[in-house]
Amino acid sequence: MDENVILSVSGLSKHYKYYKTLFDIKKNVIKALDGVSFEVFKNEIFAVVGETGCGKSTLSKLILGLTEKTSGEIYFKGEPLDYGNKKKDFRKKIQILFQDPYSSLNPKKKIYKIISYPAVKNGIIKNKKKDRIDFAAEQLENVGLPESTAFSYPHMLSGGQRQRVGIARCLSVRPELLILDEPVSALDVSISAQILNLLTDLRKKNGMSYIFITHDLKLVRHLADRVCVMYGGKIMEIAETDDFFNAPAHPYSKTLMESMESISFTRPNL
Amino acid sequence: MSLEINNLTVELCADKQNDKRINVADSLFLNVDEGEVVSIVGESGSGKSFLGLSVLRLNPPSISKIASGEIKIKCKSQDKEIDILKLKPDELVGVRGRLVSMIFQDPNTSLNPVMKIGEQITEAVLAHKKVSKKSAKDTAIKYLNSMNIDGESRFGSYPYELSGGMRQRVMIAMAMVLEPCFLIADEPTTALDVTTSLQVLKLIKDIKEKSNIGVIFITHDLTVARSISDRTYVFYAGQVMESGSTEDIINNPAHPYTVSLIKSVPSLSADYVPKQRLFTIPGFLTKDDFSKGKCRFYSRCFKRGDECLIDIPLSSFKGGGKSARDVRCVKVKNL
Repeated sequence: MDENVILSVSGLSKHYKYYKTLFDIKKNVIKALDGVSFEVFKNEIFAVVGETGCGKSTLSKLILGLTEKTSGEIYFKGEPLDYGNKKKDFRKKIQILFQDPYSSLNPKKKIYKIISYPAVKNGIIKNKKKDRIDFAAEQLENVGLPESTAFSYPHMLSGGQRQRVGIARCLSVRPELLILDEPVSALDVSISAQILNLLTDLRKKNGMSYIFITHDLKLVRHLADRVCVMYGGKIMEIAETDDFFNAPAHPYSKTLMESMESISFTRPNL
Repeated sequence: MSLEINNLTVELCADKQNDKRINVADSLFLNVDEGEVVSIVGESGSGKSFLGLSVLRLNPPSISKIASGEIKIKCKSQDKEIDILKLKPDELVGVRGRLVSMIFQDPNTSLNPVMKIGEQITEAVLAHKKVSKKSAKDTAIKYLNSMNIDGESRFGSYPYELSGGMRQRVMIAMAMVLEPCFLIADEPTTALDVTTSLQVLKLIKDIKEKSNIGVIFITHDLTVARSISDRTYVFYAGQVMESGSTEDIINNPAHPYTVSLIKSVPSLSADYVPKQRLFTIPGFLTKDDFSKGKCRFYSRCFKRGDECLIDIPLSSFKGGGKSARDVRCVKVKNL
């Protein structure tokens, strides 16, 4: 396998079964993901675009091993992704940054505990208060927050600061692949620019790959190297960012582009 | 038909023990005419939602107080002008929903999950008008149909059976069912996808043209404001920083805050260079920014100087565009 490929997904499917009514005999099947294949290279920002319900979140759950796949294969650096036996190894290497910083931090825990917990769990530092505080302070500095934040609770911080704490938490175990699940859609315009710059800087410093899940094409154009457009659990188009924005090939990509352009600074009014 | 806000000041209790108060709306002037969309753009915490609530006097009375000002409404169904702030609590019922109605940000939480959507709409009709249940139902179905929802079959649906975009359209149907003169839309597209939010924006625009109502559109996104509104008020820490026609503001921003807002969004235009560093506004909006004696944007401004340490009035700005503009900045020189 190619040295540069960090994550390779082939024929990945996830079907959810459910009963439509209480008295159904047969289960109905929703194909949340249906035969998805792609590769993510080292040091690359791979954007996944699509609307609600197209399977973006299912994809990230499967990569993180939070749910069982129905069929297909996922390889991480040439090794099959197996959360059964080697859970700890993969947890360290693949991390996720959640969309909503208001609900993804435990409101009852101080920031230093939130940040150092993954490191303690993975045996990077010892479970001693002093170690944990020192470790958290170091991580906070990385994301541009003052050390004193370590002793605050999440409710004392603003949205942008909370998202920085989220970033510090997922970077604390030094992952090689980071999944960004709409990292700025819950934030204000002025704050989201700060977070996007931080994510760009951190990638340069640590050399990570990002899977950037979003529905905002402006951010895709700004950040991503390659784009993957999803609809109804299937991949519609994978292209280099420049090619995609110069000439989107799939009809759905065109629709997406048009609706994005009418809500932007460049196009005439509706 | 017009809605006029004159010199509105709303106080919010920031610290109960020390009786510290901040003005979440500070001597505010705003007006909306019929058939016009006016957008209020500002970041979270700037007091824009609170303003929307204050217009209907829905602001929580335990922590906030409307200190001064008037909100005048002139409507075709009303023979004389009324001032909302002078009305008694029971008279307010005739205003809320009837003259001015509101759409809230999150359709998932603002609909009652255990009531059928049809019933929620007829409830509003029956509360305000003396009509039979049958005709109320017909009205509800008519309005659902006009929102591109099949009224007959969806009348008995519960909110959980609908998608986010459909729920927001139900909310709009509910707001429009009493044929108000003014609509306050509080971030109606923030919780939605690009494609669905475009549909909702188009729908609001259609309604405005068909029934010739005035719309106050509250948003945090200048691009959304641009796609729908005629005039824009840029809001920061309870004050209007800049106001004028939307096109002028976006093509030719004057206030440093507006300039920074526009610069910090990546664009889709052809001459944009991707992967450069984005322009950022340092820091974030805090409670201290609401204090008097300085420009409220002082702590984050890239143009700040000693002359900014006074209360800055909103002054008219000539140059840059055809229409009248107001800017609250001492550094902006009239051309």
